[in-house]
Amino acid sequence: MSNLRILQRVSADINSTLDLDEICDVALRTMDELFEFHHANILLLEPDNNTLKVIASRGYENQAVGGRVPVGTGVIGMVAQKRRLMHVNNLGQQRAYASAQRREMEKAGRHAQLGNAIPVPGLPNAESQIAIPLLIRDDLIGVFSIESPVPRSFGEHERDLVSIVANQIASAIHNARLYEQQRLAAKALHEANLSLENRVAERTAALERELRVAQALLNEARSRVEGPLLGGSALVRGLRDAVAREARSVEPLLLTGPAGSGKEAVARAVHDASGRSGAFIFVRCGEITAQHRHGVETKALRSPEESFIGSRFELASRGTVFFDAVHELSLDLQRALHTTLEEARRRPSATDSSTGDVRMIGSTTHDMRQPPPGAFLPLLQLLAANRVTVPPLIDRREDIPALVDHFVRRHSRRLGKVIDSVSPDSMRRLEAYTWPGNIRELRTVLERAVLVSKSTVLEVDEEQLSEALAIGSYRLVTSLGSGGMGEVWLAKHRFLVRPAAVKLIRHDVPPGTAREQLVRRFEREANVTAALRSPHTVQLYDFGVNDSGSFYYVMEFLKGLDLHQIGTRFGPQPAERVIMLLRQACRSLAEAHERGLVHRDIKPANVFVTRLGTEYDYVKILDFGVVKEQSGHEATLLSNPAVVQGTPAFMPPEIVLGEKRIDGRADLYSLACAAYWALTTQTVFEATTPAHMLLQHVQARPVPLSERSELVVPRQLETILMACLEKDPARRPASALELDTQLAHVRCEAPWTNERAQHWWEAHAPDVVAT
Amino acid sequence: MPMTRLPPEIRPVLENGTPAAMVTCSADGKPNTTVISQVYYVDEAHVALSFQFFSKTIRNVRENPRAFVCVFDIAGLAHWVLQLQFERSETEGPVFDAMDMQIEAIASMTGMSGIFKLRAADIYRVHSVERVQHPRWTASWSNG
Amino acid sequence: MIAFHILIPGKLVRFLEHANVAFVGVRDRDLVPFGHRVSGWQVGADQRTMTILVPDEFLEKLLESLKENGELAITVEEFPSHETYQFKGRYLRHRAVQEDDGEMVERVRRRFVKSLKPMYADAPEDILKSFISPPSLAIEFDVLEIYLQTPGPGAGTRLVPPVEQ
Repeated sequence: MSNLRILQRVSADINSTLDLDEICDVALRTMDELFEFHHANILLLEPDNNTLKVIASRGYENQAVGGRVPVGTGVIGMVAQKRRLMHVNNLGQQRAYASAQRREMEKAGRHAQLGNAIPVPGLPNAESQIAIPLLIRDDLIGVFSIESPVPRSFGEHERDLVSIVANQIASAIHNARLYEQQRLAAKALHEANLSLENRVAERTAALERELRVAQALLNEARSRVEGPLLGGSALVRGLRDAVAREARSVEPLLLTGPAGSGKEAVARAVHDASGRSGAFIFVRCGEITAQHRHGVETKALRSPEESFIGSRFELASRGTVFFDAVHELSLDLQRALHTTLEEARRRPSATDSSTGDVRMIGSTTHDMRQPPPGAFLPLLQLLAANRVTVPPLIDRREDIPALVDHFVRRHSRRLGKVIDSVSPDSMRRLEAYTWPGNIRELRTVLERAVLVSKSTVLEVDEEQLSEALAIGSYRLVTSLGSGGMGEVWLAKHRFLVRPAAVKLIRHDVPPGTAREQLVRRFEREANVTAALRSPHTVQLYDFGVNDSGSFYYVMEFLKGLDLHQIGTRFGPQPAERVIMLLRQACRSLAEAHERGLVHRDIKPANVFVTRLGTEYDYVKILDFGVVKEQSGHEATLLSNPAVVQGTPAFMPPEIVLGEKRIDGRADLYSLACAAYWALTTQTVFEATTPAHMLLQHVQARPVPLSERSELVVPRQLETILMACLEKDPARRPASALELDTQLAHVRCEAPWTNERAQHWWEAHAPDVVAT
Repeated sequence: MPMTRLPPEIRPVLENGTPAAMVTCSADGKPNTTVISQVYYVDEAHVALSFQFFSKTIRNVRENPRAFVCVFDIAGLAHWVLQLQFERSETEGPVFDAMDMQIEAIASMTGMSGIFKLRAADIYRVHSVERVQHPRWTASWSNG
Repeated sequence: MIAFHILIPGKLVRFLEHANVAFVGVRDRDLVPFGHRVSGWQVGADQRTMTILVPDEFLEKLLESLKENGELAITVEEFPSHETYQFKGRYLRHRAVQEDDGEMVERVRRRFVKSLKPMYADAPEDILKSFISPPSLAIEFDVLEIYLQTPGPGAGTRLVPPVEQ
């Protein structure tokens, strides 16, 4: 075979494989064929760059692959060092010559200069050796060596040939090694990835476990104050920022937001974050209106109201006093609070002051653009200067999962249930729902769901959500406000379009006989009330006891203002208007009295003035007869006995005295008190304590209206009202109808007409009566 | 002095590294004969000899540049007679490197590395070259 | 030029009996050196002279140089040990080879072939034998100086007469 053919074949063979062994085999075979050199070695440079290692060998009897040659030693080592081909053809002679020199050195005693003879792989009796560096560009990768035991001539042509083959070998070996390196690298990378993935998975699992524990601890810690502040929505983050900001402030703070949105929690969070050492005093404003005159020590120069407010501030010394539903405080208490705050502002460092170092926080459900009826505007303005809005839950829907998690944990722990999770469907429902009752409603729903749950996966179905919001056939829409006795909701009938108001009344009677009796009495009384047909009696649509044990009743939904609000906001009302309102009230009362039902809590706030179609100043008497019984259970029916009969300022002496036989004339006394207030915006009696007030109803003579009123009060009217205020019911008008008749005869200079009423509403509260 | 070109046939003989004998002459006329291990082919007109240590030969050619080399071609039944003239001494370049490489390769194997390092490649011009064929041995030589 | 006769040491006489290669060098009047193969050698009975046998190559040139200046130097080597000595001397006389010179050549030839055989394993033995060509002239000379020429640190050292310290 011609050399060219051999070269062509070696090229094809060597490039057809990436296997180092095959490449070497081709190379060695080729050398044999081309030059009849039967002994050949392929050596590759070791990573240390100082040694060559035999990786393939041919023709040697005892030369195993793996032999090593130091770079710089022997023909092969020298070729590696110089990176040049070398042909030595008289190797035996050269070695003999060198050996002779060595012996002469030894004879001359110059052993010290001699090194050790270094055996190198190859033929021990080689006479001819050709070694070629294997180069990739200028980098040495190894040496190719062929040997013969006899001298062999090796001309330029052969040198060229062997160089060509060597280049082919070098490229092929290089490629094979690159391939092998890449393969190993890829394998190592794959293994590393697997290992890394496993480690990451393990670490992730460990971190998740830690995170769950940390989250549980964190939630536990937060739950005490922060329940409603949980979540990651922008709104709640803003709220938390506001809490942090407000915690550093000492200015009075007003929290506004719908019922159930978590105003109390925010107030507590502000207190906790403030680092104040004193207590957090919670004042439920709706419940103290009637009570504030009881048991408050009156200090000199202070009104009873100021003393009451002062006492609350004293309790909260170095702490926080929170006035929940501050607008529900009576006007005079609001005034007193305002005075107290103004005083504190003037003398911020006065330590002797009862208000010294107390943070005051108030809350209201009302939007400040529309001040709540009965609010003392200067107080609201003072508070509103520093205001934080607590958003409704629907505006921070994304927080629902966090809140759900929190409440489920809390309730399940409290109820001793194991709940691991909430089913995805249930969570979707919870997230989709509108939550008119806000977080309070969410809490109630979840509490009930946990209670009835029989699985570790909590389910909240559509019905449970509807029930939470449904009162009888009514679905609660939005909270209209909350107060001492309970919450009032705007509601819609499930099938009828008419709106309704639902009042929920809280009570703390545990299940049992007493409660069952209470429920029966409530139902009997409500049935009577519901039977009232006077258009001036607010209509009762439905009533009952809901799942959470609250009494509720559903009544017609009215837009307008009660007499308390009208007096508070717009001052004393003209006599002709008051007469007109009183007469309508009389018609309502007349029907009730006829059926043996006494209202027992007539007061300006229960005289609601609305518009009915084209009729303005249409009176509806509220809170009729419900949960009012002259029994010993009365006190337990409602959360606070002091608020039962509402308002001492309007209480007839026979009720104060606790007489058993009460008839409609008691309501006439109260109605006269309300009229007195409407005409003067002053109560019949002034007192420093509730007890004092009540005592005066029994003993004191009222100051004649004409002496108190800024406006002209017709003598006739004055006489009628003073008669109503007689201590002895027998000296009062005999009935509501008689009172109505008497009032009908009072002559006024300018009668109160529907037109005047319309005009008044349009001028003073256009939005209330707008259709 | 006539310019002579080395014939191509001598190149493998030189490259095959057969032993050689060399004669030089000192300035005062004393010839010096030595055996040398290799004559290196440089080009058509030059050969090189190694200068590893000071010797009479090295001194002689620097006094009297004329030299004589006989290269044996044992397998070829011949020897080559070369008349040379010392021209220069090289201590670097391809000729030096090739010679150095070979010397060091052998020395390193025998523990003699660096002891008789190549000091220089002595370059000689070829004045004449002649191949002398040997008579082939016959049995009559022994008998005669 | 004053020449001192010396005695060839017995050690070198013995060496010459087992050495296998020799070469002689002369020079002409122009100090141009020239060399000749040597086919055999023998130490004279007085251990002061040597006789070498040279084949029929360039004999005219050789004799001319020897007659002109008498200077000659012969290197004798033992292969493959490379033990080598150079004997320098002065030409005395020459003669044609004689019958008994053939034995001297044959001993050298045998030693030569024996030493080279491992290197040229593939070569026919008669090729190796041919290297030691049949001689045609015997040259006798006075040995005046002997040098060590074995490659190594001592190469070039004059052994006889000893170098004065």
